[in-house]
Amino acid sequence: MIRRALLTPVLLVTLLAVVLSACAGPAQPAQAPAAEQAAQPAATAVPADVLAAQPWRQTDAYSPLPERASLVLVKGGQENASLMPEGESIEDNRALQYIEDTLNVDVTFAWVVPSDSYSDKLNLSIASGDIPDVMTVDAIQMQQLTEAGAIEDLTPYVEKYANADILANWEQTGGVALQAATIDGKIMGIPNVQPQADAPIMVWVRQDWLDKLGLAAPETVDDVEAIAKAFIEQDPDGNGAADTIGLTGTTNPVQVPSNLHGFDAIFNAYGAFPELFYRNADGEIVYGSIQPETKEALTRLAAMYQAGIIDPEFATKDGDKANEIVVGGRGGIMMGPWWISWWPLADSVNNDPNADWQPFMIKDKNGNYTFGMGDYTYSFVVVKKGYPHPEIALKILNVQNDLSYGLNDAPQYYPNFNEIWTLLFPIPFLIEQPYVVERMATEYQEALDGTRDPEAFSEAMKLEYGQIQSDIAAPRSDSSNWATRMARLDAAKLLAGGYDEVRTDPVASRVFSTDPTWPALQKLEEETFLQIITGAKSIDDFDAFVEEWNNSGGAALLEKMNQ
Amino acid sequence: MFSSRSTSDRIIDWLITGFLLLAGISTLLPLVNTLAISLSDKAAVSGGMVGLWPVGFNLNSYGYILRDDKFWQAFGVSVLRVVLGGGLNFVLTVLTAFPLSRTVKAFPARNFFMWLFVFGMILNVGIVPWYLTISGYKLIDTIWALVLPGAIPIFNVIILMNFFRNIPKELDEAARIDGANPWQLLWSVYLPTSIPALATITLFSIVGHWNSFFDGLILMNNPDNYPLQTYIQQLVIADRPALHGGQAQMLAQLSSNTLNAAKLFVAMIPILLVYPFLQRYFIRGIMLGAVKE
Amino acid sequence: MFRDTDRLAYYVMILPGLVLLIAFTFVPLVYSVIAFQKFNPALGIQGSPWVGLDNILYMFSLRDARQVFTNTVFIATMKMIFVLITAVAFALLLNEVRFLRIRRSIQTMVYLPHFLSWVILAGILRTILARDGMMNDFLGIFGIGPVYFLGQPNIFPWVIIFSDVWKEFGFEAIVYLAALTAIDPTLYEVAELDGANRFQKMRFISIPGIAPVIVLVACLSIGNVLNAGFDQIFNLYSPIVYSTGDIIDTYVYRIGLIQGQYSLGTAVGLFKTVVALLLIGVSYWAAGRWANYRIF
Repeated sequence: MIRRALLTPVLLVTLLAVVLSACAGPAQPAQAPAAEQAAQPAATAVPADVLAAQPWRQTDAYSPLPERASLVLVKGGQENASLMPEGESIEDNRALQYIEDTLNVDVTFAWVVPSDSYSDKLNLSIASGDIPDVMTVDAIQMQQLTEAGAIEDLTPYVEKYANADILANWEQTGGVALQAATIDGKIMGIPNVQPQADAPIMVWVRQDWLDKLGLAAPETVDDVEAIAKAFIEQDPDGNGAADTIGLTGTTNPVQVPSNLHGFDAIFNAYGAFPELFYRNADGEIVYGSIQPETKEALTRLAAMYQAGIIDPEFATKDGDKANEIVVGGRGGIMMGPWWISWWPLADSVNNDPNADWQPFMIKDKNGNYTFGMGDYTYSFVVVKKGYPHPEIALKILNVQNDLSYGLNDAPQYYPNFNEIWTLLFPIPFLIEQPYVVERMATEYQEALDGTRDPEAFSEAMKLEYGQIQSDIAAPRSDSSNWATRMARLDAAKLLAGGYDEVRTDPVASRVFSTDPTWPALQKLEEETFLQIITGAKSIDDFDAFVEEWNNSGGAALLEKMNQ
Repeated sequence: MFSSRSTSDRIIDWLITGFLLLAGISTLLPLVNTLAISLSDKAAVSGGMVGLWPVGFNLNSYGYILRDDKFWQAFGVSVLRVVLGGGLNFVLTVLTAFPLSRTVKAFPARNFFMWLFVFGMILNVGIVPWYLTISGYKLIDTIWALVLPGAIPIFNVIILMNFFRNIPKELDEAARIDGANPWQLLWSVYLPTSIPALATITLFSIVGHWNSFFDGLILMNNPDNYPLQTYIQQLVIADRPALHGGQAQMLAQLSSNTLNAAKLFVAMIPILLVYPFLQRYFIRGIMLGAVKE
Repeated sequence: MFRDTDRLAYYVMILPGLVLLIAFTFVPLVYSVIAFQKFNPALGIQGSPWVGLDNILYMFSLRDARQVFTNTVFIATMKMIFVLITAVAFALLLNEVRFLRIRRSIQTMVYLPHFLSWVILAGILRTILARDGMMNDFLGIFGIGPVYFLGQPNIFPWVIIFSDVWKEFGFEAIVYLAALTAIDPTLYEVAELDGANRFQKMRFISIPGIAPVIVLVACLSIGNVLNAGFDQIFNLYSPIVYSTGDIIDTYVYRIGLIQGQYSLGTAVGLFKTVVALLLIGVSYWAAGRWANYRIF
């Protein structure tokens, strides 16, 4: 689905693990030298000789504020603070200082909370009317804040202050990104661009267990079921106890993108695209969750649950509980996107170097790979009404982009940047090239094949390429080398191999997600799906659900959409 | 007093006693199970092998807690709120109960205030206005948000007021004749004679403060300000581990099951320590409050 | 005798409590008017548009609102009934135990859960009610299960009800035990002389003896019909059991604070407040009428 992404715990974890494609940076400098721009007043923080040597500092996108200003932010990620290098913290680190010095701004945080609490806490802050100067919000929150007149209209700033990379990445969405951020003709927020690779859900399987039981790699849902059954019954870890879980799951059976332990791939294999709004063969916008294909997929899932293939307690488990199963060696199958080797599977390899997780994609009934794709954009950076320098949000994103890609002489302080960037940056936020993951996988493969010169890679890509080579030389001797190789090469290559996509309609998804009836419709759906899969409701109740969904306002909204 | 008891009567006696003992013990079994899990090896726990006795006894979980700064930070917040909140509850309860225990003749507005407080007690406005009020006072993320909203425990006021009213009038009058003003009267006559009731209401408020988690959850933005129950709620119930990063190493020895069980148990310890007093005084308290006829 | 300075002292004494009462109980009541607005935090109460009864009417049209209302009443009522029955039965049986020390030990054991928070108890329950937990191991002896206690909508409310019985029955039994000790022992002696057996004594002396207390407790319970136990359910429920386990308080928390539908959340909360006030009025009246009880 779509904008729910921000509301759910998984996403921010995603942000952490997704490892800013700190690589693949465009070769040319982000910003043309400042010939066309009039000189800005000199900043106090940047010495004159530096200014002379680095003319980009005087362009619109990077010019420091005329006077030192304060900026109050809020942040998730507190639970990972221990990953920070010695002597640095979320509130005080070298990357943040570089941003502060470059832009002449003092960043403070009103609060720093665990990632999954971010959205709840932000809603509480909005309720109390006490909001930070700049914050990351979802579509619903942006709508509410706009109606409240609580945030700045960013129309005059976006084109002027975003750097060339960011503008290009928005461009590549076909204008969808900025359109999603537009309310009544005004751009109210800075839209993200999600790497498209995050949506397809793969099945990761322990190859060592497959080998031990003499099983072949999975291609279809039937194969996955057979493997899960074998894992449950044949004691693949050889500990003599019948304690292996087949297929893990969580309270979110469906969620686009990046659903760890989600059943999305199984739905997709049945030609079902729940939680997406897409055009059917007649060109009408339909809602995936109420289609007959979804019923078929639910029937299958219910049968798998009944047969004990799916974790009997999945319906009350959060992501962390489900992760514990695979990290603790009690499960050999995990559904998830391309990057889960970084988290949580790296921990599994840490605990057991034999854990040889391999990604596979599942074919649908026609033998194709088809995946439901959410929006490019579902979260927004907004600026509090009355903040004197609304452009600062864009400038910070520009500098962050430089730090990630090593552009404009931005210093590369951190060897483990990919693991901690969400903690370092004051506004952790991705405005990426939509297909960057696939492109990088191709380039790495070409380098391995000798058809591309790895010396031409950016510094960040060189680092990753080195990790990939190390793991090929000595597999799983180092869990982070292994994780990088699996994600960047093996899994991303599967995606680069191509797949069909069913894409959600950005307008429909926004109209629905901001409609007052939506939370109740969503609750009905969540409840019904979980109850059908666990057998608390029979599959025949699906039809009653569709009827109720339609009668509770869903049909009316769809009709409105199609006019 | 019952000298001649038949054999069948005795058998029934034993049956009843045995049954109740069994019921009593099974009430405690879940707690014993938790303790056993906290002291067990993680493999035994994830294999579901631990019942009432630890399997693979070790103290790793407790060792981990001892080194867990966040846990003790939250513990400290809880202690602070108990001290501040309990103290404030005590002072305000006494100060409010005393005038309300006066006769209408002595304190004409007494009935009006009485109704106002009782109305305040049974009036339970929804959580949204409640949150807006507290955030309006800018109390979010301060210890006062945990202390002030419940600073006047009206139920306790009523208990104490009823107790004051049952203190013999003669004591009152004797002090009056000696020229005592209301402050002196409260201090030197009423408080010393009300020790049991005061102990009761103090324990009420201490346990209440120690056990509450929800105000901490929504009124504290910064997790460093969470009281212990909120910290545990986030960890055990909402499943938000505060230990990512160190997690992989930790999982080598512990599982979150054993560790969570240990945290639950450590959080119980303060209650277990005051339990003997609780049992004595709460029973009296519930009698004072509930069955005043 | 009643000097003005005395009265002044009384006012001074009551002042701090009064200020806090107003600040944290009556001020929120003022904030409740947002139930009649399309409340927007940035505009505040003064700036938000008034919508009359729209939110209230919308609430009545919501399937969820009706459902949580039913769930609340069902869970709360069942809790009262089962806690009451268990507590009375326990008190009557305990009254038959003649060894004082055993009696005390039993009491010590059964009161303890009352003093532990629902956070702790829910943490414990989640462990023992898991598939490989103690409860399923126990049921397994009889060939039952495994039961998915926290994930089955038809079982979940009973988990809530009986875990509440577990926590509270011992404590509620205190009042019945007190009432039993207040019964004149000569009644039993006379009955014994008349040849009454143990159960006849229970039936004709003990139960009538504590009947007024039972009536009182039942009357006062009326006021709690809309309180199904937020702390308990909040720490045990999950989306799969919303259909039977979601109650007014958890619902208001989710829609009102977490989803940001402030006015709707307040409307539902206000509705509960009003009904609860009426019920408490009825319960005090009933307690006064049938159990001769006055709160002060």
